[in-house]
Amino acid sequence: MKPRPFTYLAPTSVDEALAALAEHSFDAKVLAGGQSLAPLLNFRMASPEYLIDINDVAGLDRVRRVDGGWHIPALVRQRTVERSPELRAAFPLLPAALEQVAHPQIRNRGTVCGSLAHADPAAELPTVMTALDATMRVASVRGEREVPAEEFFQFHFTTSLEDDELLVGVTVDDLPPATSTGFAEFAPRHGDFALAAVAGVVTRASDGAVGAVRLVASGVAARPQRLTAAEKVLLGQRPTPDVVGAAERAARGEVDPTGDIHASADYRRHLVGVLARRVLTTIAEEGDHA
Amino acid sequence: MIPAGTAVGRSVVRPDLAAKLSGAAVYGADLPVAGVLHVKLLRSVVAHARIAAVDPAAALEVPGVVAVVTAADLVDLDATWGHYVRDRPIFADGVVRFAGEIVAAVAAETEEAAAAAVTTIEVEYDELPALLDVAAAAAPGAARVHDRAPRPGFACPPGTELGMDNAFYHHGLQHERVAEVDEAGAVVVQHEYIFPAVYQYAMEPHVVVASWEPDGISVHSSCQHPFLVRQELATVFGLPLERVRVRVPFVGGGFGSKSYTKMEPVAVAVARAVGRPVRLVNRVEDAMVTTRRHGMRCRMRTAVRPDGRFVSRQAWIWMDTGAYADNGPTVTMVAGMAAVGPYRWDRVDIDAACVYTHLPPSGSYRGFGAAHLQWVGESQVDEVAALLGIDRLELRLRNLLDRGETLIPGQRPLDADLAGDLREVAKRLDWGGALPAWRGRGISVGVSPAGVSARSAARVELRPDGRVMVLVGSQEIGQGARTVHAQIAAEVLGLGMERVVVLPTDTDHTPYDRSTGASRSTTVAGLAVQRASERLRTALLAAAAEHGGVPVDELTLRDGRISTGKRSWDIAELAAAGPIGADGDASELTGAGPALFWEVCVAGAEVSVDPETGLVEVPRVVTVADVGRAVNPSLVERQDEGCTLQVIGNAFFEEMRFSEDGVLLNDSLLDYRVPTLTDVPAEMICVIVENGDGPGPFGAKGCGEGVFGGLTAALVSAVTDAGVPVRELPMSPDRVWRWIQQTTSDTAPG
Ligand SMILES: Cc1cc2nc3c(=O)[nH]c(=O)nc-3n(C[C@H](O)[C@H](O)[C@H](O)COP(=O)(O)OP(=O)(O)OC[C@H]3O[C@@H](n4cnc5c(N)ncnc54)[C@H](O)[C@@H]3O)c2cc1C
Repeated sequence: MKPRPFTYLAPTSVDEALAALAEHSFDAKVLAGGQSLAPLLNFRMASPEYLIDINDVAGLDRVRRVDGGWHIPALVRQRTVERSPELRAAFPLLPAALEQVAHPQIRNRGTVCGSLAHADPAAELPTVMTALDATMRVASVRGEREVPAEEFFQFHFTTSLEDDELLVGVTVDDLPPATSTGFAEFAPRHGDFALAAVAGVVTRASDGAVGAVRLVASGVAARPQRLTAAEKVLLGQRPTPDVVGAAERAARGEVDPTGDIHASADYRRHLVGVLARRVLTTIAEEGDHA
Repeated sequence: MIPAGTAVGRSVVRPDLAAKLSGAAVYGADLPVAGVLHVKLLRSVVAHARIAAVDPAAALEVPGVVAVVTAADLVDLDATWGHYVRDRPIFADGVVRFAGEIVAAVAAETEEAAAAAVTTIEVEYDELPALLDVAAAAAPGAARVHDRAPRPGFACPPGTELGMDNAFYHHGLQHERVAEVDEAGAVVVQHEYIFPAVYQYAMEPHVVVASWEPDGISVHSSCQHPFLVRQELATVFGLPLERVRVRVPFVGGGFGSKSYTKMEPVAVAVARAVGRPVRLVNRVEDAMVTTRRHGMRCRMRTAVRPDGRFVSRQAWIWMDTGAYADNGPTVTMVAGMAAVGPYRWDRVDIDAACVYTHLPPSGSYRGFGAAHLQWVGESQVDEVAALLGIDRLELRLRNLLDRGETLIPGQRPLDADLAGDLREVAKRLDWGGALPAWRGRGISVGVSPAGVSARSAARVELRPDGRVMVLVGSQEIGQGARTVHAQIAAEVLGLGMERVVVLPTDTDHTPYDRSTGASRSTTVAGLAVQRASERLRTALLAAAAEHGGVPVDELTLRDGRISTGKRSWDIAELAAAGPIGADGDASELTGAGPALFWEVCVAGAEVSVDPETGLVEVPRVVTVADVGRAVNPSLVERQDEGCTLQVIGNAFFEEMRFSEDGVLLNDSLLDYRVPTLTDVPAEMICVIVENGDGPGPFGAKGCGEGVFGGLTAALVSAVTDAGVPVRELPMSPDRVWRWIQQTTSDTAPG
């Protein structure tokens, strides 16, 4: 099928884009890489009257260093982040997850922010950004605001963005010293959306015990879910196989997935445990050798 | 290996390659048709209901809409079709029997107008209970999907019994090699098995361009069996055969989904109603409810003596053919045969039933029957081997039939060296070598009846431009039939490939060919091409002898030139005054029943199972193309590789999922996963076996389907060897994980 007719707008500055969003708000959709939006339009699951193509907006296509972290503006492609030496060094979690997102052709066009704004509960980036405690920079003609990842993702394909707001970029703070990260997912076929995924960020105290931990799962709820029970098991403990095993059981116990045509609920629950253990095991080995 | 000829035995590049790669190839949807109307179909949204009312008023208001056609427009016809059982109305007539059944068609000036209008037709359904499970539908006392006695279709073999129950057709095989079979002391295994409904997924869904003209019906269709489509249309619309013309453009894959009649009757019915040519293009979601592979349930029992000698095999098989028979009875018959296995049993007792349900109709799909049953039978052989402590390969070799032995009484005797094939596979799999935990190897052997019918004819003509035209009714559906036919003609006529052209089918001009299926194009149609080419060769030599005034036996024909001593002529000179042609057919092929030859289904696989996620990876597959003679070795290998990928989909993840109301849930390629390049096994070994023992040209026999039976079974065998018993396909990760849980809890110390 082809999309229903729409009016195409191509602002060249953020202000213009925000003005267009203010004017058309609910009737408009932002077009970034189009890798999710174009299929939605073609299947007529979305039929906006206005399409605001932000690809010509100046100043949104370069990653930049900000105070104590990195800022990824709205037009930075997934592939750019995956291949950036600076970002790979600062956040190994990003390339680890991005390599599992779709296929290179799609990552060449798809933006990081587009995936975040799209908020597919099975997508990798929302989970990873939640684990990294990233901050969304959101703007409208009414002003700018910052939203922590954990508040940004709300429900299936739903974020805290208002109809007139643009996700201008996402900022990720540098990880503290002695921090290790890990990512694992399960997709029956490479490039498919995962049935479940787990991202972990663990900071060790000087005695090797876990000082801080964020463990986040996708594929089990309507939004990325923090595995707080598993985190609690880990806090203050050295991540020995026994502790990791206890965290696995806790993770399995705290999620309540639903079954669908791709996998049963039981199986997804089991997978989250396995993936959490795999992530924590890599993290533990890396930390022990640091 | 047999040494290559000038054309046969060589991996020549397919002549249609450039056209296909450059986009120049014309497919059905590309055909320019003046004044064509576009057709969109309204399909039932419920599985079983009485149609209380159809109101097309709103659709007729949509600008560009020319007509809305329903069953009410066909009352002057016996508007039902079906080659085996004439059970299918062109438009649902008062009742719908599956979700997806065609209720109405809109014809409009543009595709957009047709698409917009079709959603505005209002249909009132009085829903009725639907039978969605094949076992429930076959149970005694079940409500009937069809309340009238089944009418045999034009291709139903004479004498076939069609019953009133939902299980309307049975194929029984009962024979005893030994009187008073003694099962005392035998090891017995018996289980139930499940096979999923899957979809053929040809890249090009069905396309029909049809017109109703004063002198008859003209159809362009993406079909595999144009001559049977012609016969069906002639029957339904009450015309003599010669007033129905079917032409076939390039076809973007078939795999059985385009065998027999599919969308042609509805397209012709609309053309007849509107008096203008129409174009009907299925989408994937349409194709999925047009035809699919039968889901199956089966109970099987195998008894073997403690010394490893096979005693008896019994099976009860229920094939879910959906609401209409399509090719279900044939699929059921072949499934019954596949249940036997190529072994020396004392007694065999099989009942295969073809069962109506309220699901979309099922028909042919590559390797049917063998794909359904070989894994079941072979997994019982493996189980017996484990119980008796005999190596799986050894147990098979002890019981396999030899060449010339009877497999099924009344059918062609076994015509292949199965033990030799099996040994080839074992060698390539390092059979017997140690494997780490959760790795397994599997091996499997079977045969499937192929060829079906000797009814293929061909005409080969030398034209004045010096090229030879081959008219043969096999369809080029991607498998390379035209390439192979050109090679056969080139070999016989001593011509370069560039001088041989195989023409597309036009039933007005192309000699009769029954069908493109059952692996018959090389063997049966190819034999007709060979015979016609030989006659043309004789005619050319005779003409040259007269032309040059030399005796025929002093002439040679090579590279398009006829020579005698120092003098030579290009054969084009012989045709200067007009084409010279010759006909040939395959009538010399004989054989009782459906097997003109047995297609060999032998394969092996190695797998590794992740016991935590249930994911199975396939590092190595070995397939055997026991083809008698490989006319084009590269095409043979591509057949096995393509089939390997389809097997991986069917065995590991493909599955049509229906809601509790019988509505297809995964009706798009996003939700119905087909294999892609990332699913290709790390190593695919195709062993070409050339024993020259096929009945086709140069000793060839067909290939391309055997992998479906052989590899599906080998994968099941390998997964079982890795520690996970399998009774149901697909072996999707969550199932494999569950089976592992069950096995570990079963064997846990209690
Ligand atoms: C075949 C295929 C496979 C895929 N597999 C995966 C996968 O495995 N994992 C995965 O995570 N993703 C997958 N994707 C989705 C892909 O990652 C998309 O690129 C991404 O989700 C959207 O980014 P985009 O820039 O293309 O956004 P678009 O498609 O342009 O937009 C997506 C949505 O976000 C909104 N939007 C975009 N940018 C902004 C902004 N700056 N501010 C406000 N709203 C905005 C749009 O209005 C739209 O609603 C797949 C896509 C395809 C086609």
